[in-house]
Amino acid sequence: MAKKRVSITVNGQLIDQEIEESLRLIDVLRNELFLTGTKEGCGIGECGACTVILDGKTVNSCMVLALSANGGVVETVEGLGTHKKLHPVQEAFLDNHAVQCGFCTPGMLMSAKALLDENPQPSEEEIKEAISGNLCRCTGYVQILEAIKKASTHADCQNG
Amino acid sequence: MQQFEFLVPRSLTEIVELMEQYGNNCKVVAGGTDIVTALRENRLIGISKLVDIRRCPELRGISRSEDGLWIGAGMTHSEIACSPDIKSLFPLLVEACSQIGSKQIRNLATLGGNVANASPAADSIPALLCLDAQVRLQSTRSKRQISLQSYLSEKKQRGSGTIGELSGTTEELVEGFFLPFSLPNTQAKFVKVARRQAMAISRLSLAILLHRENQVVDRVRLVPGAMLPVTQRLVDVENYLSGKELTSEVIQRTSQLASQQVIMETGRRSSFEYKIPVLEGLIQQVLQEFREGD
Repeated sequence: MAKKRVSITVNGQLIDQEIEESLRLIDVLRNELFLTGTKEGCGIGECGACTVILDGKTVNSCMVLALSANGGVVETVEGLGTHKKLHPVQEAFLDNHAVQCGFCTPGMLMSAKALLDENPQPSEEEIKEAISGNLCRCTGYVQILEAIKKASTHADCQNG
Repeated sequence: MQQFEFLVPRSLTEIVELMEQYGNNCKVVAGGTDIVTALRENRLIGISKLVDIRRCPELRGISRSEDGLWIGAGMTHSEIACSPDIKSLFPLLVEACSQIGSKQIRNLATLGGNVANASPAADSIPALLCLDAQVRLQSTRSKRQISLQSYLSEKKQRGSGTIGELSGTTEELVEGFFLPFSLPNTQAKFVKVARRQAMAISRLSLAILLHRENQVVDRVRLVPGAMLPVTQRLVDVENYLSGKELTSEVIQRTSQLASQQVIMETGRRSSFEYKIPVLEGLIQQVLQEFREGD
Protein backbone atom coordinates (compact mmCIF):
# COMPACT_ATOMS: atom_id res chain seq x y z
CA MET A 1 0.00 0.00 0.00
CA ALA A 2 1.27 3.46 -0.88
CA LYS A 3 2.67 5.51 1.95
CA LYS A 4 3.20 9.22 2.31
CA ARG A 5 5.04 11.33 4.85
CA VAL A 6 2.96 13.27 7.34
CA SER A 7 4.15 15.80 9.82
CA ILE A 8 1.78 16.67 12.68
CA THR A 9 2.37 18.18 16.10
CA VAL A 10 0.51 16.05 18.61
CA ASN A 11 0.29 17.29 22.18
CA GLY A 12 3.33 19.47 21.61
CA GLN A 13 5.45 16.75 20.05
CA LEU A 14 6.32 16.79 16.35
CA ILE A 15 5.41 13.52 14.67
CA ASP A 16 7.01 13.00 11.29
CA GLN A 17 6.48 9.60 9.74
CA GLU A 18 5.32 7.64 6.74
CA ILE A 19 1.70 6.55 6.88
CA GLU A 20 -0.75 4.79 4.60
CA GLU A 21 -2.70 7.31 2.57
CA SER A 22 -6.09 5.98 3.57
CA LEU A 23 -5.57 6.46 7.31
CA ARG A 24 -7.80 8.87 9.16
CA LEU A 25 -6.50 11.09 11.92
CA ILE A 26 -8.08 8.79 14.53
CA ASP A 27 -6.28 5.77 13.03
CA VAL A 28 -2.92 7.51 13.33
CA LEU A 29 -3.62 8.68 16.88
CA ARG A 30 -4.80 5.32 18.14
CA ASN A 31 -2.92 2.76 16.06
CA GLU A 32 0.33 4.48 15.15
CA LEU A 33 0.89 6.71 18.18
CA PHE A 34 -1.00 4.51 20.69
CA LEU A 35 -2.92 7.51 22.00
CA THR A 36 -5.98 5.42 22.76
CA GLY A 37 -7.70 8.06 24.89
CA THR A 38 -9.49 9.25 21.77
CA LYS A 39 -12.37 6.83 21.16
CA GLU A 40 -14.09 5.77 17.99
CA GLY A 41 -17.84 5.46 18.45
CA CYS A 42 -19.95 5.76 15.32
CA GLY A 43 -17.17 6.48 12.81
CA ILE A 44 -19.44 8.82 10.85
CA GLY A 45 -19.18 12.06 12.79
CA GLU A 46 -22.39 11.67 14.77
CA CYS A 47 -21.29 10.85 18.29
CA GLY A 48 -18.26 13.05 18.98
CA ALA A 49 -16.35 10.38 20.95
CA CYS A 50 -13.39 10.95 18.61
CA THR A 51 -13.30 14.73 19.15
CA VAL A 52 -9.81 16.24 19.16
CA ILE A 53 -8.62 19.80 18.73
CA LEU A 54 -7.01 20.52 15.34
CA ASP A 55 -5.42 23.94 14.92
CA GLY A 56 -7.46 25.28 17.82
CA LYS A 57 -10.83 23.93 16.64
CA THR A 58 -12.67 20.77 17.64
CA VAL A 59 -13.06 18.22 14.87
CA ASN A 60 -14.26 14.64 14.58
CA SER A 61 -10.98 12.79 14.06
CA CYS A 62 -12.93 10.02 12.26
CA MET A 63 -13.76 12.49 9.48
CA VAL A 64 -10.29 13.90 8.91
CA LEU A 65 -7.82 12.14 6.66
CA ALA A 66 -4.48 12.12 8.42
CA LEU A 67 -2.73 13.53 5.35
CA SER A 68 -5.11 16.46 5.24
CA ALA A 69 -4.01 17.35 8.79
CA ASN A 70 -0.41 17.55 7.56
CA GLY A 71 1.37 20.50 9.18
CA GLY A 72 -1.40 20.83 11.77
CA VAL A 73 -1.38 20.99 15.54
CA VAL A 74 -3.44 18.34 17.29
CA GLU A 75 -4.45 18.19 20.93
CA THR A 76 -5.87 14.98 22.39
CA VAL A 77 -7.07 14.08 25.86
CA GLU A 78 -3.61 12.74 26.68
CA GLY A 79 -2.24 16.27 26.35
CA LEU A 80 -4.79 17.88 28.65
CA GLY A 81 -3.18 17.34 32.02
CA THR A 82 -0.77 15.07 33.83
CA HIS A 83 -1.44 12.46 36.52
CA LYS A 84 -0.07 14.94 39.05
CA LYS A 85 -1.85 17.99 37.73
CA LEU A 86 -5.12 17.49 35.97
CA HIS A 87 -6.54 20.11 33.64
CA PRO A 88 -9.32 22.14 35.35
CA VAL A 89 -11.99 20.51 33.13
CA GLN A 90 -10.75 17.06 34.12
CA GLU A 91 -10.85 18.00 37.79
CA ALA A 92 -14.32 19.47 37.41
CA PHE A 93 -15.57 16.31 35.65
CA LEU A 94 -14.33 14.24 38.59
CA ASP A 95 -15.72 16.60 41.23
CA ASN A 96 -19.14 16.74 39.55
CA HIS A 97 -19.49 13.03 38.81
CA ALA A 98 -19.63 13.82 35.10
CA VAL A 99 -18.24 10.41 34.14
CA GLN A 100 -20.18 7.16 34.15
CA CYS A 101 -18.96 4.64 31.57
CA GLY A 102 -16.35 7.12 30.38
CA PHE A 103 -16.52 6.45 26.65
CA CYS A 104 -17.74 9.93 25.73
CA THR A 105 -15.51 11.62 28.30
CA PRO A 106 -12.35 12.26 26.21
CA GLY A 107 -14.45 13.88 23.47
CA MET A 108 -16.51 15.85 25.99
CA LEU A 109 -13.33 17.08 27.67
CA MET A 110 -11.87 18.26 24.36
CA SER A 111 -15.09 20.08 23.41
CA ALA A 112 -15.15 21.68 26.86
CA LYS A 113 -11.48 22.64 26.66
CA ALA A 114 -11.88 24.23 23.21
CA LEU A 115 -14.93 26.16 24.44
CA LEU A 116 -13.16 27.50 27.51
CA ASP A 117 -10.05 28.41 25.50
CA GLU A 118 -12.24 30.51 23.23
CA ASN A 119 -14.79 31.71 25.73
CA PRO A 120 -13.60 31.42 29.34
CA GLN A 121 -16.98 32.32 30.83
CA PRO A 122 -19.64 30.67 28.69
CA SER A 123 -23.36 30.84 29.40
CA GLU A 124 -25.32 27.62 29.95
CA GLU A 125 -26.63 27.86 26.37
CA GLU A 126 -23.11 28.26 25.01
CA ILE A 127 -21.97 25.17 26.93
CA LYS A 128 -24.91 23.16 25.59
CA GLU A 129 -24.11 24.30 22.07
CA ALA A 130 -20.42 23.42 22.47
CA ILE A 131 -21.17 19.83 23.53
CA SER A 132 -24.14 19.31 21.21
CA GLY A 133 -21.95 17.21 18.90
CA ASN A 134 -20.97 14.88 21.76
CA LEU A 135 -23.38 12.12 22.70
CA CYS A 136 -23.47 10.62 26.19
CA ARG A 137 -25.41 7.37 26.40
CA CYS A 138 -25.33 7.26 30.19
CA THR A 139 -27.44 10.43 30.14
CA GLY A 140 -25.05 12.38 32.27
CA TYR A 141 -25.53 15.72 30.53
CA VAL A 142 -26.57 17.62 33.66
CA GLN A 143 -23.42 16.69 35.51
CA ILE A 144 -21.28 17.43 32.45
CA LEU A 145 -22.91 20.85 32.13
CA GLU A 146 -22.29 21.52 35.82
CA ALA A 147 -18.69 20.38 35.48
CA ILE A 148 -17.97 22.72 32.59
CA LYS A 149 -19.62 25.58 34.48
CA LYS A 150 -17.43 24.78 37.48
CA ALA A 151 -14.30 24.58 35.33
CA SER A 152 -15.07 28.01 33.91
CA THR A 153 -14.73 29.50 37.38
CA HIS A 154 -11.27 28.00 37.76
CA ALA A 155 -8.51 30.58 37.67
CA ASP A 156 -6.38 28.57 35.21
CA CYS A 157 -9.21 28.52 32.71
CA GLN A 158 -9.89 32.19 33.10
CA ASN A 159 -6.26 32.91 32.35
CA GLY A 160 -6.63 30.89 29.19
CA MET B 1 -11.68 1.77 3.93
CA GLN B 2 -11.42 2.42 0.24
CA GLN B 3 -7.84 2.94 -1.01
CA PHE B 4 -6.78 6.04 -2.91
CA GLU B 5 -3.87 8.28 -3.76
CA PHE B 6 -3.89 11.59 -1.90
CA LEU B 7 -2.81 14.54 -4.01
CA VAL B 8 -2.05 17.97 -2.58
CA PRO B 9 -1.96 20.59 -5.33
CA ARG B 10 -0.33 23.89 -4.49
CA SER B 11 -2.52 26.23 -6.50
CA LEU B 12 -5.91 26.62 -8.09
CA THR B 13 -4.38 26.03 -11.51
CA GLU B 14 -2.89 22.77 -10.33
CA ILE B 15 -6.24 21.69 -8.83
CA VAL B 16 -8.14 22.11 -12.10
CA GLU B 17 -5.31 20.44 -14.03
CA LEU B 18 -5.55 17.39 -11.79
CA MET B 19 -9.34 17.37 -12.16
CA GLU B 20 -8.92 17.44 -15.93
CA GLN B 21 -6.24 14.75 -15.89
CA TYR B 22 -8.09 12.27 -13.70
CA GLY B 23 -11.70 13.12 -14.59
CA ASN B 24 -14.18 10.70 -13.07
CA ASN B 25 -11.44 8.86 -11.20
CA CYS B 26 -10.81 11.74 -8.84
CA LYS B 27 -12.72 13.58 -6.19
CA VAL B 28 -11.98 16.97 -4.73
CA VAL B 29 -11.93 16.90 -0.93
CA ALA B 30 -12.10 19.96 1.31
CA GLY B 31 -13.57 19.45 4.79
CA GLY B 32 -14.02 15.75 4.08
CA THR B 33 -17.15 15.35 6.21
CA ASP B 34 -19.10 13.75 3.36
CA ILE B 35 -16.21 12.12 1.52
CA VAL B 36 -14.37 10.43 4.39
CA THR B 37 -17.48 8.59 5.55
CA ALA B 38 -18.27 7.63 1.94
CA LEU B 39 -14.71 6.27 1.53
CA ARG B 40 -15.05 4.32 4.73
CA GLU B 41 -18.16 2.65 3.37
CA ASN B 42 -16.50 2.06 -0.04
CA ARG B 43 -19.16 4.17 -1.70
CA LEU B 44 -16.94 6.21 -4.04
CA ILE B 45 -16.91 3.70 -6.83
CA GLY B 46 -14.13 4.23 -9.37
CA ILE B 47 -12.42 6.94 -7.36
CA SER B 48 -8.68 6.34 -7.04
CA LYS B 49 -7.40 9.88 -6.46
CA LEU B 50 -8.33 12.47 -3.90
CA VAL B 51 -7.42 16.07 -4.63
CA ASP B 52 -7.02 17.90 -1.32
CA ILE B 53 -8.06 21.56 -1.51
CA ARG B 54 -8.46 22.18 2.24
CA ARG B 55 -5.65 24.65 2.56
CA CYS B 56 -5.60 26.19 -0.93
CA PRO B 57 -5.24 29.91 -0.17
CA GLU B 58 -7.05 30.97 -3.34
CA LEU B 59 -10.23 29.24 -2.13
CA ARG B 60 -10.22 30.98 1.21
CA GLY B 61 -11.22 34.41 2.43
CA ILE B 62 -14.19 36.73 2.62
CA SER B 63 -13.93 40.10 0.92
CA ARG B 64 -16.19 43.05 0.26
CA SER B 65 -16.41 44.74 -3.08
CA GLU B 66 -18.50 47.69 -4.26
CA ASP B 67 -21.59 45.66 -4.95
CA GLY B 68 -21.36 42.63 -2.74
CA LEU B 69 -19.39 40.07 -0.80
CA TRP B 70 -17.13 37.30 -2.01
CA ILE B 71 -16.88 34.07 0.01
CA GLY B 72 -14.20 31.55 -0.91
CA ALA B 73 -15.50 28.00 -1.37
CA GLY B 74 -12.98 26.72 1.19
CA MET B 75 -14.42 28.75 4.07
CA THR B 76 -15.86 26.55 6.79
CA HIS B 77 -19.35 26.96 8.18
CA SER B 78 -17.83 28.09 11.50
CA GLU B 79 -15.73 30.74 9.79
CA ILE B 80 -18.78 32.01 7.92
CA ALA B 81 -20.96 32.03 11.05
CA CYS B 82 -18.27 34.01 12.92
CA SER B 83 -17.44 36.49 10.17
CA PRO B 84 -18.34 40.06 11.23
CA ASP B 85 -19.03 41.00 7.59
CA ILE B 86 -21.42 38.11 7.02
CA LYS B 87 -23.08 38.67 10.42
CA SER B 88 -23.85 42.26 9.57
CA LEU B 89 -24.65 41.90 5.86
CA PHE B 90 -26.18 38.43 5.53
CA PRO B 91 -27.44 37.20 8.93
CA LEU B 92 -29.62 34.71 7.02
CA LEU B 93 -26.51 32.83 5.90
CA VAL B 94 -25.19 32.86 9.47
CA GLU B 95 -28.48 31.34 10.68
CA ALA B 96 -28.24 28.54 8.11
CA CYS B 97 -24.52 27.83 8.52
CA SER B 98 -24.68 27.75 12.30
CA GLN B 99 -27.37 25.06 12.23
CA ILE B 100 -25.41 22.61 10.11
CA GLY B 101 -24.14 19.46 11.85
CA SER B 102 -22.29 19.97 15.11
CA LYS B 103 -19.52 22.36 16.10
CA GLN B 104 -16.99 19.70 15.07
CA ILE B 105 -18.55 19.35 11.63
CA ARG B 106 -18.93 23.09 11.10
CA ASN B 107 -15.23 23.48 11.89
CA LEU B 108 -14.39 21.15 8.99
CA ALA B 109 -17.18 21.34 6.42
CA THR B 110 -16.93 24.08 3.81
CA LEU B 111 -19.58 26.15 2.06
CA GLY B 112 -18.19 25.00 -1.30
CA GLY B 113 -18.59 21.37 -0.24
CA ASN B 114 -22.16 21.86 0.95
CA VAL B 115 -23.12 23.41 -2.39
CA ALA B 116 -21.04 21.14 -4.66
CA ASN B 117 -22.44 18.06 -2.94
CA ALA B 118 -25.86 19.64 -3.68
CA SER B 119 -27.91 17.43 -1.40
CA PRO B 120 -31.57 18.49 -1.45
CA ALA B 121 -31.17 18.73 2.33
CA ALA B 122 -28.11 21.01 2.26
CA ASP B 123 -28.89 23.82 4.70
CA SER B 124 -26.84 26.58 3.12
CA ILE B 125 -28.61 26.33 -0.23
CA PRO B 126 -32.04 27.79 0.65
CA ALA B 127 -30.29 30.75 2.31
CA LEU B 128 -27.91 31.28 -0.61
CA LEU B 129 -30.80 31.13 -3.11
CA CYS B 130 -32.69 33.77 -1.12
CA LEU B 131 -29.58 35.94 -1.28
CA ASP B 132 -29.31 35.59 -5.10
CA ALA B 133 -25.88 33.95 -4.77
CA GLN B 134 -23.69 33.54 -7.81
CA VAL B 135 -21.26 30.63 -8.07
CA ARG B 136 -17.84 31.10 -9.65
CA LEU B 137 -16.62 27.99 -11.42
CA GLN B 138 -13.29 27.15 -12.91
CA SER B 139 -11.90 24.45 -15.14
CA THR B 140 -8.82 24.23 -17.32
CA ARG B 141 -10.94 25.46 -20.21
CA SER B 142 -13.07 28.20 -18.71
CA LYS B 143 -13.98 30.46 -15.86
CA ARG B 144 -17.58 31.47 -15.40
CA GLN B 145 -19.96 32.90 -12.86
CA ILE B 146 -23.56 31.69 -12.89
CA SER B 147 -26.53 31.87 -10.56
CA LEU B 148 -26.64 29.21 -7.88
CA GLN B 149 -30.03 28.14 -9.27
CA SER B 150 -28.51 27.47 -12.71
CA TYR B 151 -25.61 25.62 -11.12
CA LEU B 152 -27.99 23.33 -9.22
CA SER B 153 -30.13 22.67 -12.30
CA GLU B 154 -27.07 21.88 -14.43
CA LYS B 155 -25.82 19.48 -11.80
CA LYS B 156 -29.18 17.75 -11.67
CA GLN B 157 -29.27 17.48 -15.45
CA ARG B 158 -25.87 15.84 -15.45
CA GLY B 159 -27.44 13.23 -13.22
CA SER B 160 -25.40 14.05 -10.17
CA GLY B 161 -26.46 14.96 -6.69
CA THR B 162 -26.11 11.44 -5.41
CA ILE B 163 -23.40 10.39 -3.02
CA GLY B 164 -21.71 8.40 -5.78
CA GLU B 165 -21.09 11.61 -7.62
CA LEU B 166 -20.21 13.89 -4.78
CA SER B 167 -18.92 17.37 -5.51
CA GLY B 168 -18.23 19.06 -8.77
CA THR B 169 -15.08 17.18 -9.57
CA THR B 170 -15.93 15.85 -13.00
CA GLU B 171 -15.72 19.21 -14.69
CA GLU B 172 -15.53 22.41 -12.78
CA LEU B 173 -14.27 23.45 -9.40
CA VAL B 174 -16.46 25.70 -7.24
CA GLU B 175 -14.15 28.59 -6.49
CA GLY B 176 -16.51 30.65 -4.37
CA PHE B 177 -19.69 32.64 -4.07
CA PHE B 178 -20.67 36.20 -4.79
CA LEU B 179 -23.54 37.67 -2.77
CA PRO B 180 -24.94 41.02 -3.94
CA PHE B 181 -25.77 43.44 -1.11
CA SER B 182 -29.37 43.25 0.12
CA LEU B 183 -31.59 46.33 0.33
CA PRO B 184 -31.56 48.04 3.73
CA ASN B 185 -34.34 46.90 6.10
CA THR B 186 -34.60 43.49 4.47
CA GLN B 187 -36.12 40.86 6.75
CA ALA B 188 -34.88 37.30 6.51
CA LYS B 189 -35.24 34.05 8.41
CA PHE B 190 -34.00 30.45 8.15
CA VAL B 191 -35.85 27.69 10.01
CA LYS B 192 -34.85 24.06 10.17
CA VAL B 193 -36.84 21.06 11.30
CA ALA B 194 -34.88 17.91 12.12
CA ARG B 195 -35.04 14.94 14.43
CA ARG B 196 -33.06 16.80 17.03
CA GLN B 197 -31.52 20.24 17.31
CA ALA B 198 -27.88 19.36 16.78
CA MET B 199 -26.29 17.13 14.20
CA ALA B 200 -29.40 16.03 12.37
CA ILE B 201 -29.91 16.35 8.64
CA SER B 202 -32.83 18.60 7.78
CA ARG B 203 -36.18 16.95 7.38
CA LEU B 204 -37.35 20.25 6.08
CA SER B 205 -36.08 23.78 6.12
CA LEU B 206 -37.31 27.15 4.98
CA ALA B 207 -35.59 30.38 4.08
CA ILE B 208 -37.57 33.55 3.44
CA LEU B 209 -36.28 36.99 2.57
CA LEU B 210 -38.63 39.94 2.37
CA HIS B 211 -38.44 43.66 1.72
CA ARG B 212 -41.37 46.03 2.01
CA GLU B 213 -41.82 49.64 1.03
CA ASN B 214 -44.71 51.38 2.84
CA GLN B 215 -45.95 47.97 4.04
CA VAL B 216 -46.10 46.61 0.50
CA VAL B 217 -43.88 43.66 -0.42
CA ASP B 218 -41.54 44.72 -3.21
CA ARG B 219 -38.96 41.94 -3.00
CA VAL B 220 -39.40 38.41 -1.76
CA ARG B 221 -37.58 35.11 -1.91
CA LEU B 222 -39.08 31.90 -0.56
CA VAL B 223 -37.15 28.62 -0.65
CA PRO B 224 -38.09 25.38 1.09
CA GLY B 225 -35.21 22.96 1.73
CA ALA B 226 -35.29 19.15 1.63
CA MET B 227 -38.62 19.09 -0.19
CA LEU B 228 -37.75 19.28 -3.89
CA PRO B 229 -35.29 17.17 -5.93
CA VAL B 230 -33.47 20.40 -6.81
CA THR B 231 -33.85 23.07 -4.17
CA GLN B 232 -35.42 26.11 -5.79
CA ARG B 233 -37.26 29.35 -5.21
CA LEU B 234 -41.04 29.07 -5.31
CA VAL B 235 -41.35 31.79 -7.92
CA ASP B 236 -45.14 31.60 -8.32
CA VAL B 237 -45.55 32.14 -4.60
CA GLU B 238 -43.10 35.03 -4.67
CA ASN B 239 -45.08 36.59 -7.54
CA TYR B 240 -48.32 36.25 -5.58
CA LEU B 241 -46.81 37.95 -2.55
CA SER B 242 -45.22 40.82 -4.47
CA GLY B 243 -47.21 44.02 -4.34
CA LYS B 244 -49.29 42.87 -1.37
CA GLU B 245 -49.44 43.81 2.27
CA LEU B 246 -48.85 41.08 4.85
CA THR B 247 -52.43 40.61 6.02
CA SER B 248 -53.59 37.42 7.73
CA GLU B 249 -55.38 36.35 4.55
CA VAL B 250 -52.32 36.95 2.38
CA ILE B 251 -50.12 34.99 4.78
CA GLN B 252 -52.58 32.11 4.82
CA ARG B 253 -52.88 32.09 1.02
CA THR B 254 -49.07 32.26 0.60
CA SER B 255 -48.59 29.12 2.67
CA GLN B 256 -51.28 27.26 0.71
CA LEU B 257 -49.80 28.29 -2.63
CA ALA B 258 -46.37 27.15 -1.46
CA SER B 259 -47.58 23.67 -0.59
CA GLN B 260 -49.50 23.47 -3.87
CA GLN B 261 -46.39 24.41 -5.83
CA VAL B 262 -44.25 21.86 -3.99
CA ILE B 263 -46.78 19.11 -4.70
CA MET B 264 -47.00 20.19 -8.34
CA GLU B 265 -43.19 19.99 -8.70
CA THR B 266 -42.67 16.62 -7.06
CA GLY B 267 -45.96 14.79 -6.94
CA ARG B 268 -47.35 13.67 -3.62
CA ARG B 269 -44.72 11.90 -1.56
CA SER B 270 -45.35 9.75 1.46
CA SER B 271 -43.42 12.17 3.68
CA PHE B 272 -45.71 15.02 2.63
CA GLU B 273 -48.43 14.08 5.06
CA TYR B 274 -46.04 15.42 7.66
CA LYS B 275 -44.05 17.92 5.63
CA ILE B 276 -46.83 19.89 3.94
CA PRO B 277 -48.64 21.05 7.10
CA VAL B 278 -45.25 21.80 8.68
CA LEU B 279 -44.18 23.87 5.67
CA GLU B 280 -47.45 25.79 5.74
CA GLY B 281 -47.12 26.37 9.47
CA LEU B 282 -43.53 27.58 9.16
CA ILE B 283 -44.35 29.99 6.35
CA GLN B 284 -47.22 31.46 8.37
CA GLN B 285 -45.06 31.71 11.47
CA VAL B 286 -42.16 33.45 9.69
CA LEU B 287 -44.37 35.90 7.77
CA GLN B 288 -46.30 36.67 10.95
CA GLU B 289 -42.99 37.42 12.69
CA PHE B 290 -42.00 39.74 9.86
CA ARG B 291 -45.36 41.47 10.11
CA GLU B 292 -45.03 41.94 13.85
CA GLY B 293 -41.46 43.13 13.41
CA ASP B 294 -42.66 46.38 11.85
